[in-house]
Amino acid sequence: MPDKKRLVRVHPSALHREVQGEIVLLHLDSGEYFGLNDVGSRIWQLIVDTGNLDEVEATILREFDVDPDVLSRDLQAVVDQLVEKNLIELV
Amino acid sequence: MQQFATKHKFPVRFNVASRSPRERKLSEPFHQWLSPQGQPLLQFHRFNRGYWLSFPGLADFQVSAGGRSVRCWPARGTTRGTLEHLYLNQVLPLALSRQGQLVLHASAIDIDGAGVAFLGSTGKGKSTLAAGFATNGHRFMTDDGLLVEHADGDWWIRPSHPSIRLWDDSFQALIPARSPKAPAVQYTSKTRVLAGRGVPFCADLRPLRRLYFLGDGRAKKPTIRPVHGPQAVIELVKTSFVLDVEQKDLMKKHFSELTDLVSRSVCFHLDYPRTYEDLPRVRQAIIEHTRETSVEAAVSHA
Repeated sequence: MPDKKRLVRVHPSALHREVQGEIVLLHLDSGEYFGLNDVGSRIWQLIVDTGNLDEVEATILREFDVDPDVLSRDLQAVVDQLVEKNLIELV
Repeated sequence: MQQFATKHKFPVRFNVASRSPRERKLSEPFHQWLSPQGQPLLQFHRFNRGYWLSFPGLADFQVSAGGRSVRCWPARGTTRGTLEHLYLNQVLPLALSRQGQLVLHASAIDIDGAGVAFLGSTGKGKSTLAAGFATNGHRFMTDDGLLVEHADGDWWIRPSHPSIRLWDDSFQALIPARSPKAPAVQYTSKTRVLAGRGVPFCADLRPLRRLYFLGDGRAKKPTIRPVHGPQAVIELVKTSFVLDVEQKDLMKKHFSELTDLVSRSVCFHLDYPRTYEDLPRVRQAIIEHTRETSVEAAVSHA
């Protein structure tokens, strides 16, 4: 069983769409738009597909040449921002 | 009641009340546009399930809930030309956006049958570009409030009001003598030039092939580069007319339309020196760039 804090889901008021390889987000309550770069977009896709940050981290580690500690810190920073903007929520 | 006699039919019923409005209790504005000095230019109120748009000192407009009818109450002394200006340039695009139409702060022209638009806030050069093209063989389709619609698997530019508003220097530099003009407007010194032989207008739908976001004029020569993905969507959001940002069904539609538009790879950044001497080579750069697209489109459809 994964740690409960590592499960996330897309906020019900967040719309997302891939446009030319990158994710665009709209939060319907605030009316704010957000854009994700290529790595951020991959993280988003994995969050949508798995909802499990452990799986997101493991997949990114396989796909990108990145130090595990650096990835762990950077992923947490991205997740914190997405939570702060109400684009995802902890389950 | 009176009604403006415009040649073009928009799906909005409009009339001007001949009497002053009764005293109305308005809620606090849910949105407002401010001048650079912080003064309110336009205040948006909710009213009777619709909207009340107030231009302080000039006029009030009541917009129905679905954006299909507009009634205007001019302030004492506001001229007909001013009312027409406010209606066509501010209120009508907002009412159309409430109907779910995609309306952008952009001018547009016709190059060899392709619709080409220039997007940006006031002062970026949209109208000057449109006028420069129109007086050199490429008809204009609008000078602002660009209507874009999706049909038959493509995006189309719908012609809007056949006039262009210009500051005096652009008017003097670009517009042929004796071109017809609309009456003067109280709150701006811009001249509204009416379409005619010297400033020809394209009244037909054109497939949208280029959206150029206008830069700030720091480029030393005409410079065009593609704008992709989220950046292009966010630029389009900034240039969209939206009457009610709290209508979620319309926000979803807007999101879907903007992302689809960007996925067509039609978005570019355009910058160029803002001198009249440079305009011919700016036009040439845009024409060549647009013709590249037309060739690509022809091949992909073959």
